Amino acid sequence: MESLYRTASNFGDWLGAQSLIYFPVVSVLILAAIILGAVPVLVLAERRGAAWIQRRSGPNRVGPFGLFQTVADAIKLIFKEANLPKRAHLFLFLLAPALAVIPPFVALAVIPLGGDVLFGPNAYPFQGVNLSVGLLFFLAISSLHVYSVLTAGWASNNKFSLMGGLRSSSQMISYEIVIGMAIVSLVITYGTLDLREIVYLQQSTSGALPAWGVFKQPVVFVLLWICSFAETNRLPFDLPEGESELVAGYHTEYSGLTFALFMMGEYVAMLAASAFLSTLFLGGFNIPFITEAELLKFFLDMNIEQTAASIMTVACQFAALAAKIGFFMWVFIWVRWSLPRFRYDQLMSLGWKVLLPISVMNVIGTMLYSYFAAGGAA
Amino acid sequence: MIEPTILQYILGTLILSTAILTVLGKNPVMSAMSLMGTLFLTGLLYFTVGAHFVGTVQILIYAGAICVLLIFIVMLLDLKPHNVRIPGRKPVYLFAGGISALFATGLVISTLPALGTNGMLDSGVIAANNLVEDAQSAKAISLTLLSKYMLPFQVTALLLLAAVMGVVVIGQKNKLTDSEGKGS
Repeated sequence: MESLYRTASNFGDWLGAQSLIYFPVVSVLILAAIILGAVPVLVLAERRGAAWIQRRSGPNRVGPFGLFQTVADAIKLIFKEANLPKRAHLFLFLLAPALAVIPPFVALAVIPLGGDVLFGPNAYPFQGVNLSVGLLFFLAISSLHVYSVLTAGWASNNKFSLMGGLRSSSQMISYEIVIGMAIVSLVITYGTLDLREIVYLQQSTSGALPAWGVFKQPVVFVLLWICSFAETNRLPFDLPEGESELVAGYHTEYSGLTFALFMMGEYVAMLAASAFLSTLFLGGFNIPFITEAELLKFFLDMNIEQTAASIMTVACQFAALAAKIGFFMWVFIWVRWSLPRFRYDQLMSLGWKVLLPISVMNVIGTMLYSYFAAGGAA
Repeated sequence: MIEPTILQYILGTLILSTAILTVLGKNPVMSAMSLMGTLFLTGLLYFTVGAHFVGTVQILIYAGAICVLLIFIVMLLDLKPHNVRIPGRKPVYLFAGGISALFATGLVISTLPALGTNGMLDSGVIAANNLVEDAQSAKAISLTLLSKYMLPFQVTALLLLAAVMGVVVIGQKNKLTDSEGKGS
């Protein structure tokens, strides 16, 4: 055990000496590896979860408990011919799958994944990029996701695809307005756009409960949760690819690797939405009732060198964040196999006539509350 | 002295080329996509000078919202290249082009005082850069917007409201034909 600590400490020294400036690069690479590793697990969880909900066995033949089923699926998709329709707009047709994957990855970069890693006097946040406007940046980049669906629908030169693309864009625009209004009241509550600062604001406890955003703004939490289903095109809002009406919607013409990219984009977008919700409402990487300083002190008291102790702290915090993300991911799967699809007019009236008025009322309520809570002075 | 980095040169080239594609492209959807590219890359250019808030808002509003609507409309109309009439060389187009070129030149000239000797940015621009680099840039911008520029802000809001009402009026069906259509 002693030698293990020494190895860790030497490793820390080496990192501290060699690659301080490369830390952002390292954290981005770790982030990309985590996302790429998580997607196959999620696909398998979805299939096994669906089977469990429907009282089937699900994929259980490839490897123990069907663990390698996604690997087999991936190999099949990679070696399958990607069909290019003759009258499709080739450039946009091939651009669309790339646009489906890139924005969720970039959006995930601003999510704080853990506390500070300490190298001597320097502290490095475990996060892809620490932006002062992370909250807005996440919304901006995830709003670009709609382009993939739109261009895929149009470039396929297929009526079903076009209908799917148009449906998707009007759906996303409608629900983005709700998201924007909901975020306004959240920003008033937190008083910052910095996601890292928001996480640290939720570190303390208020009474018996942790000071999480879900207890401060429960209405916004429900609104954003509903909207995240619409933004990721998941059931009950998967109108763009409703198979009973539109074959497969915008990705009807896609096959092989191009289809795999769309599927991967959907799962990464779900991951991003879950991480966003966890960060804003469930305290992000905070472990309930334990602050980062307490956890670090716990490891330091075990005679662990500072850098190694901070890395262990960050690992614990990341595990907490992963558990929260896992919860939201499971609800995504659970809802998909529990609720039927909305009709298109129901979807629109839910967005415009129910969610939007609620979010506007909530903004007004939050403004009045913060005005009077501050003593009525501007 | 701020000297543009290689990244900024690359971004600038890309912005100009997508802008040219927007104007010269024969396919309306490709033009709209190029416009989206121009606006998005401009947002990235703001990021390279440290104006994170302005860059984010640029992407959020222009690339994320306005261009989606634009492309949505273009796709809904389903304009094929052969359906679009390319205007000929009429005097009125030359006139319009001349006016636009004049305004564009004026805009460029009006920013020239910001450039010091050797085409480098002078201290005023650097100070402005430092201001946006400030972590509180969102706060600083909103405070300025809601105090110093309150009147233009409100006037813009009024203008947008008028535009929305205009759209409602234009989009309204003729009441006579509407009631006939219901057949009650």
